[in-house]
Amino acid sequence: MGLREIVFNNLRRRKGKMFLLVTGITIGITTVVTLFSLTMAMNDKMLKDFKEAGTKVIITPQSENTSFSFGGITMAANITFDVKEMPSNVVNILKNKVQDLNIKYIAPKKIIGVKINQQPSLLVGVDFKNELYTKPWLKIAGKLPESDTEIILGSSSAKFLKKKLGDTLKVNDREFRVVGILHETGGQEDEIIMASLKLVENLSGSTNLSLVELIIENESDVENIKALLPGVKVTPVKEAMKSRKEVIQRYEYFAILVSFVILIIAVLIVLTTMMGSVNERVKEIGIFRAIGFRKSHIMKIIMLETSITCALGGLIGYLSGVLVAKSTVIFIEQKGLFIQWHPLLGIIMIMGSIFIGLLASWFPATKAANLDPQEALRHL
Amino acid sequence: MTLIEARDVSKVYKGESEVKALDKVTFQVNEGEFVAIMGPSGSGKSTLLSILGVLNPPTSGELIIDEIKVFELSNEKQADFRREYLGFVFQQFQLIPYLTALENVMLPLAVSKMSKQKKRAAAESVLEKVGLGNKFHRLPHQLSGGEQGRVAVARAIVNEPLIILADEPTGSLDTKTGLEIIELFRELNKAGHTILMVTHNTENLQHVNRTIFIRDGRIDNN
Repeated sequence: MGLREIVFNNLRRRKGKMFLLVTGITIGITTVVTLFSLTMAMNDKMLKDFKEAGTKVIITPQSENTSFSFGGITMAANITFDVKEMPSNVVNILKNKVQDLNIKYIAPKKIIGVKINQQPSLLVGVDFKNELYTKPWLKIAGKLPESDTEIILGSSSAKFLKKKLGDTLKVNDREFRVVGILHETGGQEDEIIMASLKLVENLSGSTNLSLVELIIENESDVENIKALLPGVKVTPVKEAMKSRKEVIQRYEYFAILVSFVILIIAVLIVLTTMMGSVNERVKEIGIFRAIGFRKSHIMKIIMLETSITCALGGLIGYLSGVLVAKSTVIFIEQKGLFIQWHPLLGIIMIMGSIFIGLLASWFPATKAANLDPQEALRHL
Repeated sequence: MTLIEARDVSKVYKGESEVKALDKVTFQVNEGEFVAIMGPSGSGKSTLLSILGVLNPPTSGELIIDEIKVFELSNEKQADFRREYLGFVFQQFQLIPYLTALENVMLPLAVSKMSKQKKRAAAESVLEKVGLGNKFHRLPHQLSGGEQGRVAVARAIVNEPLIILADEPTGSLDTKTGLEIIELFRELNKAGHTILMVTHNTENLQHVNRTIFIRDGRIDNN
C-alpha cells in the first residue's frame, strides 16, 4: 500500500467522475489530433504533388521596362501592347537538351496586340497540347482549335464580347470561329483570347516568342537552363506552391487557434472536476493529514490522479483523433490524402494532456494540501 | 515518566464573538497511562484532544510530548510527528470507504519507506491481534460496527505509536460492542501504549487509570 494504490483505488471508486474527465480530455485531444493529422496529410500531399508535377520555369526576354502579369506569371513588356520578344530558337535549344535537363514539357507562347471591334486586346498563341499540361486546371467547353480560323475565349472575354460556341469574331479584320470557351477559373485566363501558336505567328508575321513555360523534374536544373540561355530571363515559379502553402498555413493557424481554445476548455474541465473532487473529499484528506500525511503527499495524490486520468484521455484522444481524420478523408472522398499514425504526435498529445492535468490540478491540489486538518476533521 | 505535558494551554476561537474553548489547561500524562477526558458538550474536550493530536495549535501555552515542543515544529515535521508518535481512533471510526480493512490499516504506512511486504505483514499482524484475521479484504460497509471499530484501532496502532488518541470510540456502538472496544484498549494499554480517550460514557471510567474532567474550558478538579 502506497500513494499509488490509494490513487488507483480512488479512481476505481469514482468511475463516473473519472469517466467524465477522461471523456472531456478525449474529446479535446481528438479534435486537436484530427485537425493536425489533416494538416500534416495536406502538407505531405502538397509536397508529393509538387514533386510529381515537377517545377515550372518561365523563360522571358530580358527587359528593363515595366512588366505585366499573365496567368499568374510576370512578363517583361513595354508600356504599350508591344510585348518584348525573344527568338524562337530558344525552343529548339531546349528541345535538344530535353534529356540532360530532365525537361518534361515545353510550352511556348506568343502574345500580340490585336484589335477586336476596334478595341485593343491581347491574343495569345499557344501550343495547346503542352499548354494544357502546364495548366491542368483549364477546362474547355467545346474543342481545341484545329485550323487557322478557330480560336477559343476565356469565360469573361466570351461574356464581354457576347460570344458563344460557334459564333464568329473579327480579329484585325479577319473572321474567326469560336470553337471553345474556357471554364471560369477566377484567374487571368478568364480574360484571354487564345489561338494556336502558328496562327498568331502568321498574324504577326514573326516567329519570335513572348515567353516559354517549362516543366522540369528537378529545380536544381534551373541554373543549367540559365547557363544554356544567357540572353533571356529564367525564373522558377513558386507562386502556386506558395499560395497553396498559404492556404495550408491558414488551416494550421486555425488548428492552433482551435487547439488553444480546447486547451483552455480542458483546463477548466479538469479544474472544476478536481475542485469538486477535493471538496467531496475534505473528510478523507483530513484523515490523511491526521495520520501523518504531509502536504506534499496530498498534492501527489491529487496530481497523480489527474495525470493518470489525463494521460488516458490523451491516449484515447490520439487514437480516436487519427481514426476520425481517416474517416473524414473517406467521407470527403479526398484522393491522395493519407492520414498516418505519427507516434511522436501521440507522445506529444499524452504529455500535453498530462501537462494540462498538472496545470489545472495545481490549484485544487494546493487547496487540498493546505486544508487545515482540524478544519477537515470538523466534518467527522 | 512524564510523556505528555500541557502547560497553560489556552485556545480562543475568533469569530463574530470570541469563544474561549480552553483556558490555561495544565496537566501531565505519564507513559503507560490510560486516561479518560470527560465533560459536558461544549466543555472543550474535543479541542483539547485536537491539540494533543497536534492538529490544532493552542492560542497560548505549550504542549510537550516526549520532551518535544511539538508546536514549535514546522508544519511538515508536525505531520511526521503525528505519524511516528500518535495513533488516532476517530468518532465513528472514519475508515476510508473504498479501501479494504487491510488497506485501511496499511494507510498510516503508505508514506513510510518500508517495503510493501513489510507493510502488509505489519497490517495483517495487527488485524489478527484485534481478531479480524479472516476479514482482511472486506470493505468497511461489509463490516459490523464493532468490526469497523477494531479496524480503526488496528489502523491506530499499526505504526506502533507511543500514544493512542480516541474520540468517543464507543459513542456509536451498542453496550456490548462498546465494551469489546474498551477491552481492546485495555489490552493495548497493558502492552505499553499510553491512551487518552474522550468519552461521555461513565461506564468506561472503571477501565481507565485516571480521568480529566473538563468544564467551561478548564480542568475541573472536583
